[in-house]
Amino acid sequence: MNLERILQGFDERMRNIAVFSSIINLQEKTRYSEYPNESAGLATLLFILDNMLSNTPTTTESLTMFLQTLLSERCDIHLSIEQASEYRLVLVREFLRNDGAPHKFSYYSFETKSDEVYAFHLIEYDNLSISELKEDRSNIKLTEKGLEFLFKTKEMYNELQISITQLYFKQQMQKGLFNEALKAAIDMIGLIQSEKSKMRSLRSDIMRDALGVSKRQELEQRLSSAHDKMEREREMFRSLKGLVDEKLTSYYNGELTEKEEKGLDLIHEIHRKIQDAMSIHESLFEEKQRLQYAMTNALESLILHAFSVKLNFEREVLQEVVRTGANLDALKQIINPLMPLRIPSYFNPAVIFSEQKRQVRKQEREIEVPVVDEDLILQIEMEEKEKERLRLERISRYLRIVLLPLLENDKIHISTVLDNLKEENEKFYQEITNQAHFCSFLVDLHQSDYNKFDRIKQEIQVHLPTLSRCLAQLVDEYPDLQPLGHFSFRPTDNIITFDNGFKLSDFVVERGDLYAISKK
Amino acid sequence: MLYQKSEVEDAFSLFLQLVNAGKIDKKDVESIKLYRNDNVQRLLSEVFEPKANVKIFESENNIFLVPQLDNHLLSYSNAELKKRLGLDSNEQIYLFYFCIIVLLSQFFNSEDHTLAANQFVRVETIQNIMKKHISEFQSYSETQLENQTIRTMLDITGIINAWGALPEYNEKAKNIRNTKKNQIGFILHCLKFLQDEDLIILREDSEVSITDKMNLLIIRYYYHTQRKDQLLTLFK
Repeated sequence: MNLERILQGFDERMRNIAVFSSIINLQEKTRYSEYPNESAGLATLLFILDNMLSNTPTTTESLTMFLQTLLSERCDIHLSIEQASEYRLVLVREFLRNDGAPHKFSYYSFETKSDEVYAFHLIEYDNLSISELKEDRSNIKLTEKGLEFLFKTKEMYNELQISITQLYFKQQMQKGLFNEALKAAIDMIGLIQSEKSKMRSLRSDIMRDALGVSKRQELEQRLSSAHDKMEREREMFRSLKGLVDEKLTSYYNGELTEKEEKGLDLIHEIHRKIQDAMSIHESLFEEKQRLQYAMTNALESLILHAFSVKLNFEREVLQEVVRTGANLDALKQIINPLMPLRIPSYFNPAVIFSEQKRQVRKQEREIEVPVVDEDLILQIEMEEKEKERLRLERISRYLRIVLLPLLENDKIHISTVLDNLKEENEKFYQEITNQAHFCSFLVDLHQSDYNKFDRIKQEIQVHLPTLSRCLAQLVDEYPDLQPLGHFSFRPTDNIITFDNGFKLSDFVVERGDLYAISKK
Repeated sequence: MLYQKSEVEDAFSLFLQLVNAGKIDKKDVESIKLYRNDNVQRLLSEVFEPKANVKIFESENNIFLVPQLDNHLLSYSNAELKKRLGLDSNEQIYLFYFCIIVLLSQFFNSEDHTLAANQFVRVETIQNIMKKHISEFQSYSETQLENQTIRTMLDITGIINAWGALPEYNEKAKNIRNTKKNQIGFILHCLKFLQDEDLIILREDSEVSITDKMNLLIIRYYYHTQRKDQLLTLFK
């Protein structure tokens, strides 16, 4: 019996199984045991995967919403937002993330002939950046292990994912199945992004000094093979883009089948996605450089320290502090390197001779205040008053030409009013049609709620808005308007064209409060 | 070793810049160009670091300067830190330091660092560990009183009192972040300070994780034979 051969890769298989334990263990949780925890757990992971593929962040809010919808639609459990949020904290933070600690799986390894503990995370924070935190966003994503786990639940080879999807994309594109091709293009973006986060986590591993001397060679190999793989993928992307470009060209040449022509929008969309995928793929090269930088650095520090030293804060520091009852100054010294720098400042007696800055500032401020010329202010005020008077006069004139015809007619169109005016007072007509004032007046009148012919006391008139004030003055001037009660002012579908080519929709002025009717 | 005058000037100006801001951003191309000179770096590490009692190291985005354990010039004294943190007594400062050590113990506790480390720790976890250890102090105090100097014991009874004076949780507090008068509030107050220093990230007021800066500081600073020995002698 060749045990060696049978047990080859035993650890790896065991570890692959280990990841499943995190979901299976959810069945034994006592909290929320009335809920299908294991299914909800897997569904949550799938939800995060879906977000990652579509490049949307998974926020605490979106997770809560997801769980609330999931439970209500799929198992008839209706939770309020607060309840759903509570469940999210337990399911995601406590169960799936194990309160921040890694999930652990112990087994006996036939390869190393010893007990092994395998530790892993399913979910991690997306970008540990301070700036995002200040916006109070705590987005999460799947770890490499979490992603692998989901892929394992549906056959897919991890290493070759990008290449396989590229192939699939090519096939679909050639067959003219654009919908499928688009899906594949989106998948590719997701896969490349996961490749990127894989590199990042490797980088933080290196920074955490996780790589012993023996592992370094393995890492170097991985890096160089990754480089080859990325070069291949880059080539493939170029040819895929060529394929899409070709389709577009043949469309413009009118060579596509009728069915394919309908997919033009899709081809454009695919074109965009492929370009996105390519640019993200290019960023992988940058990521790889950073990785190499991290490795060189780690190597450097390894050489510097011959064998790197580790300090177990829990055992070597905390326990010692508690055991010996270290005093305040000792504690301070331990923390010292982490505390902000104190920049010493000393008193220099010579400062008494230096310029007193505060006074200088005061003088400057005084200079900044402009000299007040009362005559100028008076003049400006007068000018403004005059302007206002002219404006009021203009509005009164307009009101007169628009509303006075109601004394004789039940209703009249603005176009008729203008035609009459043209005959009676050509000059005024020209003035109206060559200025924008009249148009804005019509709009104001149309938008105004006040449409009553009412006599209002002089003292009150002053406080009314301009239009209503002019209207009240008009009623004072023509008391006959008062019995009419209300007027209405509505646009019609007709267009008036002025002599100068300016266009305006026609309005109709009517007696009676038609607004009130339409409001009812 | 003979240095060019200009190299000494460059090293000194870099050092001043570091002392002033604690770090040099790598976007500052001019300064980085100076730093890339081998002789300047040698000056910094062989002359300035030991003489000023600091450690200078490089991260991906910054060059940092941190004071050594026993650097008194560039580090806040207890009293100054107390003022900066808005704490009332030395006992509270002790609690503050202790809280940080507990926090670090949760992130740097593995033997070989091949196990995936914690991603975050809950504030309640920190509270529970502090509670547990402070009650241990209490049981020690009687027997150790004879062995320890009175000074140390004063510290310890003080801490037990300071911690005991804080209620576990104040239900009445409207905004727990604004009060230091309970255990969780006190811990959050400490964490907020660390967050302002870009050392940790606090999410949803309860999940604490450490930043790359903190990680680097710990690994580059403490993971070092000489500095570790220096640190361990503090317990003797």
